This record gives sequence, C-alpha cells and structure tokens, in this order.
Amino acid sequence: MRALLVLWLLLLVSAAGAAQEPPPRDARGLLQWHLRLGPTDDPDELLRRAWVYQRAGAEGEAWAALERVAARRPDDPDLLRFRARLSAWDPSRWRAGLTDAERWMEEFGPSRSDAERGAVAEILDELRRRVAARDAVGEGRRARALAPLFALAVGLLAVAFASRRMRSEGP
Amino acid sequence: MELLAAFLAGFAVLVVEILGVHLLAPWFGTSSLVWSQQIGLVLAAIALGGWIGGRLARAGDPLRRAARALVLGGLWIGAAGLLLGPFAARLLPSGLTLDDAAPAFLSGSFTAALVFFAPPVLLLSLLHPLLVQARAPRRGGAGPAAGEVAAAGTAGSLLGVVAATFLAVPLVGVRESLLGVAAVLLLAGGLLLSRAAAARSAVAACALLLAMLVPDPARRANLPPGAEVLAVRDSPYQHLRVIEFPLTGERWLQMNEGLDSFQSWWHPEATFGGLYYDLFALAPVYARADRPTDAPGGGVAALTRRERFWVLGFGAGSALGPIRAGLAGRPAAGVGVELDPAVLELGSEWLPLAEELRGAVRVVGGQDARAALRAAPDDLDFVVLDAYTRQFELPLHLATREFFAEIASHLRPGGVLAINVGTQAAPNDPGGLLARLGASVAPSFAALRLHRVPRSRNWVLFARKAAPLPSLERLAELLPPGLPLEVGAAVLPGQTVAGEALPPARPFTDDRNPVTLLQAREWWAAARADAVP
Repeated sequence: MRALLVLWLLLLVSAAGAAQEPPPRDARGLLQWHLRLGPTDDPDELLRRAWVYQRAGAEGEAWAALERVAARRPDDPDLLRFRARLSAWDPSRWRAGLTDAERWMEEFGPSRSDAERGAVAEILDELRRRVAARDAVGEGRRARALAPLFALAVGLLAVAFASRRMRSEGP
Repeated sequence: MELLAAFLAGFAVLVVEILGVHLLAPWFGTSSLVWSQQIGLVLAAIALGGWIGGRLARAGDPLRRAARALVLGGLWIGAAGLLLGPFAARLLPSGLTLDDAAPAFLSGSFTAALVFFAPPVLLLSLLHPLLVQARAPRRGGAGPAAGEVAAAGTAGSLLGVVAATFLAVPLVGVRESLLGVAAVLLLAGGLLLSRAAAARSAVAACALLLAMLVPDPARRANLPPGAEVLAVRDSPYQHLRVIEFPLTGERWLQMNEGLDSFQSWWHPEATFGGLYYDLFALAPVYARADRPTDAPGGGVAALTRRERFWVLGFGAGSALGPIRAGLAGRPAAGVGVELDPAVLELGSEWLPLAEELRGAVRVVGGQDARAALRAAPDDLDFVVLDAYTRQFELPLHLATREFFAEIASHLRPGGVLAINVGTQAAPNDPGGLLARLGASVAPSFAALRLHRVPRSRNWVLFARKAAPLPSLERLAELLPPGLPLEVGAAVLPGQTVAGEALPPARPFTDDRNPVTLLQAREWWAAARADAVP
C-alpha cells in the first residue's frame, strides 16, 4: 500500500513537471516530449498538448487531442480557436474552420485579449479569402463548360457559311 | 508564290501550336493534358480548315482567298500575342491556391486556345486546298500541285518546330515571336493581294512589332499577394519566374502557373522554411540509423567515410541546407541533377547557395535524372528524388517500379531513397497515388514509410534498402539537435504511414503508367469536394 502511494506521488510529480516544462524547441525535443506524455483526460492539459502539437504542425496529434476536449467541453473558446487554426491548413476543412472562427469572434471575441482576437481575425480573413476564391472557381466552371458548345457553334457556322458561298458562286 | 504561301502557313501553324502552350503556361501551366488538348484543338482546326478551304476553292479566285486568309490569320495571331494575357487573367480569380486553381487549368486553357489559337490555325489551313486549286492548271493537274503544296507546307512546319523550340522560346521570347510571325503573315498576305493591301499590311505589321514594347502581363501572372517579380525567363521546358517577398526576404523560383507553389525556395539566412525540403534532413538520419556497428558495411570505415548522395531534381538546391543539417557535420559529397539549365542559371543568380553548400555538391545540368543516374556509383548513402514536371506532375519515367529498382541498385545496404510527393489522395486509397507509388517502390526496398509534411498537401516517402527504418524512440536519439519542430511533427504517428499500412495496389511500370491521369483526377476531385454545391 505504501509502495503504491509512493508510486502515485512520483507519477503526480512527474506529470506536474511535464506540465510545467517549457515547450519543445526543436524536432528532437518534440519527440522526447511526446514520448514522455502520459495518459490524461484533463481538458486543460489536452488543450496545452494540442497547442504544442499545433505549433509544430503535428495536425494528427492536435486533432486527436481537440476531439477529446470537444467530448468534455464542446464550447471551450480555445477549442474553437485551435480548430479554426488547424482547419485553415486543410482545404477540405476550410468551411468548418470558417464557422468555428466566426463563432469564436461572435461569442468570445469581445472578452478575450487583443492578441487572441488578432490571431483569430487573421485566420478569419485567410479563410474568407480562400473560400471566396474557391467559390469563384466553382462559379467560373459553369461558364467554362460552355466553351465546347461555343466551339461547336463556330464550326457549324463556318461550315454553313462555306456551303452557302459554294452554292451561290458555283464552280 | 503559292509555295511560299504554303510554306509560311505550315510554319505559322506549328509555331502557334508550340508557342501557344508556352503563352498559356504562366496562366494555366503546361500539363500533359494541356499539351494534348492544344494538339487536338489544332488538328481539329486543320481538319475543319482543310474541308472549308476545299469548298471555297471551288468558288473561284483561290489565290486571292488564300491571301486574305493569310492576312486574317496574321491579325488573329497578333491579337493572341497581345490579348491572351488579359483574357486569361479574367478566367482565373486572383488569390487562388494551386489546389483550387487546378480544375480551372484545363477548361481555362481550352477556352483561351479556342478563342486565340483555333481560329488562326483554321484560317491558315484554308490555304492548302486553295493553293492547290490555284496551282493545278499550271502544273498539269491536282496531283502534282497537291504534292508540291504539301511538301512546301510540311517543310514550313518542320522549320516552325525547330524555330519555336530552339530560337523563339530561349532567345527571342514567346510573345515577341508570335507577334513577329503575325507581322510576316500580314506582309505576305498583303503582297499577294495588291499594292494598296501590302501598304496597309505593312502599317499593321509595324504596329504589331511596336506592340512588343507593351509590358508583358505574363510577368505578373498569378502573382502571390505581397510578392515582387525579380526575373522571368522561358526555357524549352517551362516558364520560369523568380519572385521575392520583401517583408520576409524569401525568394521563390516558380514554374509555369506559379500561384502559391514554387520549384525552389531560398532565404538569405534561413536553412529551413517549414516546407517539404526540411524533411530531407531525415534522409541521412535514416541512412545512418544503425551504423556503425550493426549494419552491413559498418565499423570504423563507416565512421570515417564521406557520405555520398544524389539529388535528382536539384532545382536551385533548396534541399541541400536541410540535408547538411541532417548530416550533423559528417563529411559528405553530393551530386545534383537538374534537367533545365535555365533553372540552374536563375538559381545561381537569384537563389545562390551558401559557400559551405556549394563545396559539398557537384551539379549536373541539362541531363535527365534517370539517364544521369546510370553514372552513379553503387554505394550511395541516400538519393533524394524531387523531380516534378509542369508544376505538379510526377514525370512518368521517374515514377516506375523499374526506376526505383535502378535507384536501389545504386544504394549501399541500409541506403535510403526519399521522394517528395504532392498529392490530394489519402494513403489508404488503393487506387490513389500514394498507395500505387508505395507499391512501385516496395519491391526493391526492405522498409517504406510516408511522412506528411506539416501544413501541406505534400508527403515525403522514405524507403530503406535491406534494413528497417528506425522506431520513434530511436529517432528521438538519432535526430541532431536544431532541426525544426516540423521535422519532429512529421515523424509523429499522426503524420506517418508505415509501408505495411498501405493497401495493396498496382505498381506503376515503364510499360503501364497512368500517373498523369491519376494526379489530374485527384486534384479535380479534391477541389470539387469543398466547392459550391
């Protein structure tokens, strides 16, 4: 029993140490940090991990952490903010990211710091610009689809013109 | 006179066909599909023009009609040289990423070619039957006349191919050459018509030549926001441009349609840009994963030996900095192979390698990677394959099972192949690019692994010959300090797919290789996935 207590205390101290250590600064540090992580269900710790992963570009790990936060605190402002940032890197999630960023601005923007608001505004601008450009390509596609019909019409007109000239002027 | 007209028409048709694609390149790229479409459109216009010309020939005065067709053809080619840029700019919204713009490339280039290249080719194709009709009475019938006109036209086409590829693109300029050809056609047509028409044509030709002074809109085509253009050049392979972002000091060497994509990256002070090149730092790490004691060829000799590597698709050498960082101070000697000498010239002028990198690599220019590899020694430590053609197409002959076997034959046991792959496909798609590329690489290597490049659509495939790839725990020991976080992120499980996890797929072979169509299909599918419903 005593041994178990000591072990529990040791784990607690090591987890607290890991939680307080500065974020990794290079690739090797990131791997070592990742390998040291223990299991947790604490949404704050998961958000902290998601932030480290996101900063490094480890999108898979960051999404996994955020999904676990979403199961416990679906309306967490940092969850929305991190999700918007990650979505901006994945073209298939741009629209979802836009929704998250807009919701964050509306619900949490006024009460958060200027730095956070500025960061989300940047994401919002980026996503709006990209989605608008993509929509413009989609709309242009319909116009460009008419090009073959235009070609056909020009060809038929040319043939009709040549045939008429031949009939009217004769051999 | 008829033969000269036929010669000029044949010359102009081939010049329009080839330079047309180069003129489209800064806007829509020059993918295989764009080339096929251009050739198909030109052939259709030739067929239609020949048929209409035959009908018109029976209507009388064929030489005069031929002269008019020359003049009109010349005017249209001149218009193409001047107006295609502004027209193309309207077909592609600004601020697009390459991913988003990809679906618009084929339809956009088709529309532009239909408007600017098909009509002049059709007009010039009227000439053949008209000239045969005009010449036949003097040559004793249609047979001899047709033979002579066909011979003159084909000779013109032959000269057109040579002049377009070896003179117009590298020396004169694409737009300038088209305007020059337009001026010649105008003059020739005017001379055939009348003295007054010749005078008018001469004025129009001079106007076209003067129009060369108007700045070329292709210089700023699809320019990313915040960038400035430093240099532009057309090579026989591609349209090239060097741009700089004054805010960050970054420079990109872009090819063809540009957008947010680049062929090489450079920063005056930074080695890493958070880009796929960074992951090439892993190639020397993986190659030395179990050295010097427990690998074939290990021991003291392995400690003192200079590591040898080749970079196939050298570009401006963006991979070298990360490779050097991955070597962590160990001595090494590399060879870089680059197909397009213009890339090397622009690179050395605008994206110069740091002094310490220049000494570590011998660059071979103007050679195809596969052909050049035959001269490689058979004990290379690693090979980096970063060869793309026409922006996002893997060259067919550099993506086959046979080619990867050739690479493996030049690697020592434990040697590593690293391939940059840009794709929208998921690795678990058995018909997707990654699975099929994996199936093409796997037969010649013992282990294979894919790392997704952070914040990117790119993956880097690593394969190791006759030895396993190291575990994550081992990598945490092996990685030299100072590599960027992104390299660490890429090797974490969330960004990594082991070769064994790839679904069974058919390999690409020299005999059967649908990689171009596959890539085009993946890009279109990805763009449609999130498009306007």
